[in-house]
Amino acid sequence: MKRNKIIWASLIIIMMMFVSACGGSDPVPGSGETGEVAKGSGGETSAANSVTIKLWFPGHEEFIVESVKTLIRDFEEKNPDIKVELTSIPWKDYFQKLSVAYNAGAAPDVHGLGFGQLISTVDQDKYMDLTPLIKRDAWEGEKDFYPDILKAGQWKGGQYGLLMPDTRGFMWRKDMFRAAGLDPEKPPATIDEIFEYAEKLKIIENGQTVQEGLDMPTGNGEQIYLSLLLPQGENFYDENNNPTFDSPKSIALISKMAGLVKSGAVTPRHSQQLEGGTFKNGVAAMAFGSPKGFQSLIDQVGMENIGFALPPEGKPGKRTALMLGTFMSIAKNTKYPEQSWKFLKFMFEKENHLKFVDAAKFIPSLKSVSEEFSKKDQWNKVTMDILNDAQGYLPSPDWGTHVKYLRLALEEAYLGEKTPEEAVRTNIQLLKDELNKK
Amino acid sequence: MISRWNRILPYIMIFPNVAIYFVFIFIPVLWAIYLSFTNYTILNPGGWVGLSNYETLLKDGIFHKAFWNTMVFWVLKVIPTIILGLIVAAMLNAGIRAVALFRGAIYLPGVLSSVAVSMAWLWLLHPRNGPINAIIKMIGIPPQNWLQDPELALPVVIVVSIWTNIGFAMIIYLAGLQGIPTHLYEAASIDGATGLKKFVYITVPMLKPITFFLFITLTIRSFQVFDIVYILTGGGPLNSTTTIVNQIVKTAFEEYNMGYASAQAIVLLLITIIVTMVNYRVGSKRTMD
Repeated sequence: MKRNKIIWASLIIIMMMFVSACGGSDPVPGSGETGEVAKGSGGETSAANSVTIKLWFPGHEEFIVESVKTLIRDFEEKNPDIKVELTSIPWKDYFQKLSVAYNAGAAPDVHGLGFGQLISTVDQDKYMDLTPLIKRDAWEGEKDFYPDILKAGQWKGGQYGLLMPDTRGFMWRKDMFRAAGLDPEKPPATIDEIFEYAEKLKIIENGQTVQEGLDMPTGNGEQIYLSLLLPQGENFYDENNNPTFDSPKSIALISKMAGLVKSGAVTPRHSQQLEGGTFKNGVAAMAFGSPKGFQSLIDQVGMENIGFALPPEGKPGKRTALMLGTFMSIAKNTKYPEQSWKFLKFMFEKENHLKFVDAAKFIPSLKSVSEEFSKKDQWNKVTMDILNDAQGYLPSPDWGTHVKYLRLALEEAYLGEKTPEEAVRTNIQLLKDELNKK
Repeated sequence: MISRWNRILPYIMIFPNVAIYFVFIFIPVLWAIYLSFTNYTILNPGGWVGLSNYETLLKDGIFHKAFWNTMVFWVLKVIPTIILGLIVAAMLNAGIRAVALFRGAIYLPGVLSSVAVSMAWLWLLHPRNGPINAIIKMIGIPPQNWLQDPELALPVVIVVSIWTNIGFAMIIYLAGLQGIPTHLYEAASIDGATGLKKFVYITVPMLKPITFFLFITLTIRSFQVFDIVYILTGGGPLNSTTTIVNQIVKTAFEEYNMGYASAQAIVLLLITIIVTMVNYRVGSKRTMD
């Protein structure tokens, strides 16, 4: 009898140990309580009263990780009572891991967020509204931010993210222009000209495209579509969340894009193909992007063979560029709002910001550093000019649904499954049906 | 007389496994069933929506496409994999030279990371630089965009999957072949049976339990296919290669609609259970025969 009790007691203890081990309770980092020992970013133990905030940053490229580490080192030097524990996660897995962390109650205190990720989840009340902190501290950075960039992180009057923008300017291969008999110093002046140039720049040998006119993914291809649509003064949904990609301009644009696929100026491909885009791989002659994404190509063909300028005109005088980027946000339920805010302020202080964006190849969000940034590199001046007229996705909790049906419409039109008109109308109907159900 | 200790001991021995199953399989499945009745988004728990997610499934054209693709994938993958696995195993069992080399080479894709395998195929199938297009060009066939042509993409993904799984079927069949008593073949030889007849009338029937096992496991693997599709095509073009699992991942982690993704997962679970039960019933009856 006694033996049985021992066995059952042992079983219960093992079960409890197992379940508690699986629970993986998150250690309260540097809660400020006496005796708490927190692990710093460098792995060293800190003083008893120090606080450790967790920082998640998307992107695993060495230059990005190193830039964030340098930022953290500088911050910790000036704030010895705050340690920052960095976790770098590749973009591909980033939001999945972040959402799991939020659901598990283990969200990082400060974290990056993709453009679409913030605007489509901001309504779920998980991120901290920074407005009260900005007002309380009369934070100078607020006035120094480019208004459109600051606005990108706003939702219903609150400031939920501070954006480090990344814009899509127009890039072209001067050597390919030269070979096609085009002036290498004169990129297309209008959106329509892009299509003419793409046809001239394509090279087809034995029925196979060996040089593409334009880097244009046919699968998940909303970014290039938007890069071509924004200069025409349109977006693919409006501020009231209504889809607008069935407008005459949009249909005309999709028809032209489908024409490039049909003529062989573009080979169908998926945007998430592991080998990257065709411009990056030296196959396409033109693309929308920023030089930071094409370093390997620049190393290969030389800076002198690559041109970078504002997007060609859509409407007369209108050269709106697509703006994406990385938002910095604070978790609403952080235990360390003050320390997290202190870190964000540090990150967006003039000197630190310039040092960070330069090393991490972002674009400055602050007006005060733009001049110095422009001097650093021949393309930085263009980048800053692009910022004067750049637009991202409009905030919408249904961003993912809009993008899903736009992608389908584009693909159906490109691959000749439907005419552009049929493709957009069918998918807008499906989109509306889905939105109505929500 | 079995002592009490000996009666309890087996339970203690299986406890770790049961606990792992309970925590990592059973509870998540129950949780997913619950979630399928909610509009849980990735960041918010959401509320009870009853059967709404299941109603949506009935009308969702993309899910129907994914369902159809999964069925096509299942049928066109499982049967060729079993047949080819058996043929290769029989050849290797016949005592050809360098058996170990062939066995290793054929089994290798099955143990390699599916990401590595898919990457290799991406290169082989590359429309511009891929060796497959180079070869077909030499024989006068125009190069193909294998993974971006809605007509070709699914068959290509199936071929890659068959190639990856033949080794698994071959190893299981090899083990089975070595368990067939040799006296059956000897007796057949005395009766004048040819090699083909021995294969058809002895080998194949004796391997029925193995074939049944392979059918079940490959069926389940087919329903769960994700990684190859994700890397080779991302489910495109035009959703021509999307599968149910691919669709679950997209719904959950691109559209952040976890409730609806859970409903899709539950449907997949039910399909798997039903098909496995039918397989089991038919298979065990035939095996008994």
